[in-house]
Amino acid sequence: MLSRGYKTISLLGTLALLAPHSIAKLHIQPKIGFMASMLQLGQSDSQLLPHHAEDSLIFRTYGGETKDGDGKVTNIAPSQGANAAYFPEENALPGSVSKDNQDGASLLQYYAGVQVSYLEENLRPSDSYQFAPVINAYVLVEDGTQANIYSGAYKLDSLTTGGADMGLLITNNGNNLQLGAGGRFYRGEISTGDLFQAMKFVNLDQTGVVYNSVKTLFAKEDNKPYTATITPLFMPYAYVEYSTEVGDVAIAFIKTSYGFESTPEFDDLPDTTTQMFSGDAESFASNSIWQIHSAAVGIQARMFDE
Amino acid sequence: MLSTKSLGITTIVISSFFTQAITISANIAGGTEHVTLEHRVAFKPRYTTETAKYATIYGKILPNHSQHVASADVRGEYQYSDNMGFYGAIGAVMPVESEHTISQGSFQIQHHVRPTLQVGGYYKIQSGSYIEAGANLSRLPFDLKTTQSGGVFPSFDIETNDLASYTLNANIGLSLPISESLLTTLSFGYGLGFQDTALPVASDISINNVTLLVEPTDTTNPKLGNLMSGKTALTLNRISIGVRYNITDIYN
Repeated sequence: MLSRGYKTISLLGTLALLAPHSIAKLHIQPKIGFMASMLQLGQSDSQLLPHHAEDSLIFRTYGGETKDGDGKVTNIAPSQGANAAYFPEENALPGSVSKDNQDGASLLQYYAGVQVSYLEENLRPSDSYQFAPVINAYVLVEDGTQANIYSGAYKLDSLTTGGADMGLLITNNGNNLQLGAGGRFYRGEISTGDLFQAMKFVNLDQTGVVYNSVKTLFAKEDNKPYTATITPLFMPYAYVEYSTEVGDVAIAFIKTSYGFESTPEFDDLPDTTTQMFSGDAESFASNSIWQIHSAAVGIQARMFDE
Repeated sequence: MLSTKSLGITTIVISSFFTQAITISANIAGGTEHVTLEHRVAFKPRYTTETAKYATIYGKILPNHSQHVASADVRGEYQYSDNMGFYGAIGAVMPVESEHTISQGSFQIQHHVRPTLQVGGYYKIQSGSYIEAGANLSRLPFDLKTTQSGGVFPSFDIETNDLASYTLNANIGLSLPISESLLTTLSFGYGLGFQDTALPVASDISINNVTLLVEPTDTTNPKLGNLMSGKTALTLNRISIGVRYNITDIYN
């Protein structure tokens, strides 16, 4: 029976003999560039607009009240809708956005990653195509701009995130094509936008009209917008990547991906009475369909090729 | 006036120049694009009495939508040096799904086939691949109408047809050879915008109902309802994959 030490030495020796052959085929290539993403926002059914059904939240025409001799109000002028969609008239059904509505946002983010493939390249020039497995992992740096979505209702911040994919590498004389699939995690924050601001700043003539606690509906007292965090959302995609060697070290690449549908969830929600998501964030999220298509352009390097 | 003989000689000379100095190719591609309409909007409560005072919010809304497109163009390449040259192309882009509901269900936009003009430069690698960078100018014709049930402009009924806007893209592409005459191309266009298009003012607008499509110039005494700028800019980002066939090739 072999001792444990002998077995260990034998194992290391075997690995040492195999290693040069294995490492000779491993290509680890760092990549850097930028990625432009096209976030597509859809919905699976019609979506309620922010709405509150309480009468006290309706604008009233003050001068429309008439009172009898006892001071009892006998007639109240019809309530007026403020913004017919976002502040519906008394007893009106909440407005909704039709199912086929589309929206989205364009994002531009820095891209840094690494590509690992396993291939023993043919001598060049060669007429034959070679096939190899390939894996990519990358980080996307936070987009500094706020996207305006849902026509001024919300603003969207896209945060630093990452993704990975794997596929098939087809190569010939330094020209490479990749086909594969993977996913990225979308991280972001959504906050109330101009439409909510417009409601917050409503200020009516003291003699003509009064209004109730509109401010508490739409904005915090410190005048900051309400925000909700998007739970890191896995967004799957299929991709095609073309790359070509432009020197001994540098390789230029373009990677395009076509995203599949995902449904977001929200964390860190404001109080439901804010009406940020029609008062029901869970319903808003489960009704949402998000897709992301993207194009990454950059340079990768044959720095760690063996 | 040129004689038939002179015309024939001229044709041969020009054809000879094109076949020897310019590579002519035909491209077809498909892809997806993301269209953004940029409007300036005044948000304010819609109210039927002018005794109300408003602190109007002026902002931009950027309704986005995506669509699949197919494109075809004819391209000419002029070789400047061994590895570098310039290209130009004219073509057309056809939307696969032309009608979209946007802006909280407020509008329907319909796209039509649009002409495009591309110019740029390329770097040809010894392996036969091309790296290309340039610009793409498109004229986007579209129709825009309100749905009367939208979140931003409810109850408005306006339809405007035959609008058009020029838009510019910065393009970058990479082409890999499949055979001597056939390449496969992958490209990305980043939207830069270019020109606003003027939306016509609806003649039946009155202060008490609809102010859509009116330029909001009077900010001290704003009109009622949601105001929408009379101008809109369109930008589009585009990803496409396709093939290019060299009809003539100065490299071969």
